[in-house]
Amino acid sequence: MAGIYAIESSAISPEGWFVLALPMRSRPQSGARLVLFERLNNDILFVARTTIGSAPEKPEEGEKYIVGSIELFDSPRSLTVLGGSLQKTRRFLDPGFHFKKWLVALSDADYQTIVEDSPDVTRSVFRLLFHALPLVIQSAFVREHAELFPQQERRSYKYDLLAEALVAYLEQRVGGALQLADQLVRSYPTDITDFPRLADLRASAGDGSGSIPFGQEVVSVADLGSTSPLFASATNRVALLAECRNQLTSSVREQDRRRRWTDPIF
Amino acid sequence: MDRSDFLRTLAGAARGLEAAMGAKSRQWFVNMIATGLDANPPDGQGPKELTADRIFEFACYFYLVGHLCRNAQRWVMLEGSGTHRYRLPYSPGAKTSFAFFRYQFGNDVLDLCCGVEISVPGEPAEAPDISLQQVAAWDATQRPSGTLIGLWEGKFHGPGKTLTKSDFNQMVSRCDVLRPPRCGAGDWLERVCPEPFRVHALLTNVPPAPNTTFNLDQRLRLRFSLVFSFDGTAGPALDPSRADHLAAP
Repeated sequence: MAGIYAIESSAISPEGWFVLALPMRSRPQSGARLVLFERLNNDILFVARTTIGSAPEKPEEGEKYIVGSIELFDSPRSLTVLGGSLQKTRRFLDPGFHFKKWLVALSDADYQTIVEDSPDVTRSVFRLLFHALPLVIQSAFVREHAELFPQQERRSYKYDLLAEALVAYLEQRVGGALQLADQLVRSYPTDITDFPRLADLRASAGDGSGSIPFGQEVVSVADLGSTSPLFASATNRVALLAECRNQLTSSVREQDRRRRWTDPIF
Repeated sequence: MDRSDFLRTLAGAARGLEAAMGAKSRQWFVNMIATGLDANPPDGQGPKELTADRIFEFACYFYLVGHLCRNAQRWVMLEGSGTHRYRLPYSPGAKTSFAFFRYQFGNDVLDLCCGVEISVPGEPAEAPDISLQQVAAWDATQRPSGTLIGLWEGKFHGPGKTLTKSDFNQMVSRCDVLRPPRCGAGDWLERVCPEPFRVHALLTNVPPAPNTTFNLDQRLRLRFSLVFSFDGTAGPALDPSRADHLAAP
């Protein structure tokens, strides 16, 4: 196997070669496929592809790897857009973490995803939203939707069903909690002179065993409901969660059956 | 929305959500979502957590607090004891420990309390979600348990859920023990409270379920009504109405 790699464009000299600084885990061979990427504004853009024309027989420091002709993509592919669709990705909210090095091994499926610029919307929606949640809520979701998760390791995920269930969960559970916080903020008197500020209110157990800065927290929670594009409670925009439904519907119709996902849940 | 724009926007929103949910001080909010908005252990049972039910009760309470402040001759907030004095209980507590509002109407003085216990001779203390109590005199330092003149319970339910028989039975039990006064022409609730607080009531955020009925005779006998779809604004009707209570034998 010659291998498949993503390589930072700047690592390739104008003459068309690059060198490895040993020791390095990657050992590209002649014929290896390469996707060139650039870093731009906290994103990574995949801009072109090529192959390794010739590689040293025995890699030693300073030995040159000669690349073939470079084929530019019709448009750059963004890691922010494709991150949720790469097998490589485990940190879904920070996919750039997996591309910190200038040479990164890729799977054949990831190579195809980048070259064809074909995101898997179902996996992206599920993974982006799921990993945005604290572990306590993730666990509750998994517990309540156990039937949707593979019962054995290496079984593939049905991300279309999972994504739909998670969007509904967020709309009802998180959206409902945000609406409740908003209701309290709206009910709180703000037109009365010298009335205590909601931000100063604390909530305590009846026996005084615990105390929460409830007032200031409920204000910021209500603020999340009105400012997050996911929820549209206090804005006139269409909530992004509703758009997730639209995107999932169209994506399931044209679903790519080549990709099979066997990710760990968390 | 174009698919690339959608995924880019979703990635940004997801990072925003992660940051907002990650704060340690917001653990109560995270727990509330994880356990479910309908998870409300009865008083004295289950973990001591700030539940959706309690937040709904606070919303009902402050709606009433604001109305009374605007209409009373004078008002004062009596602070609770301890370090953080502007605090309300999220599980039943003593009136001496928590903040509440005191109002003067003419020569009469009323306390509006949230979640504090009311002692009942020969019975365990009851802690209604909201109670209006008449006390003897305006004194911003004394915190006596007053005479109960108004009693309200709040019950929050998540989307698609309805008021349950258990919610209803809890209100029945509370009214049975505390015996709030019956409606009378020109009584305190009529004089100082906004709709829908002019009758002792069980308020909920959800609409009535088509297939669930609650005993009307019990509500009239125990002097309370149901208020559905209460969202912190005036409007929802009392069921039965105040007129029905006045006409009841």
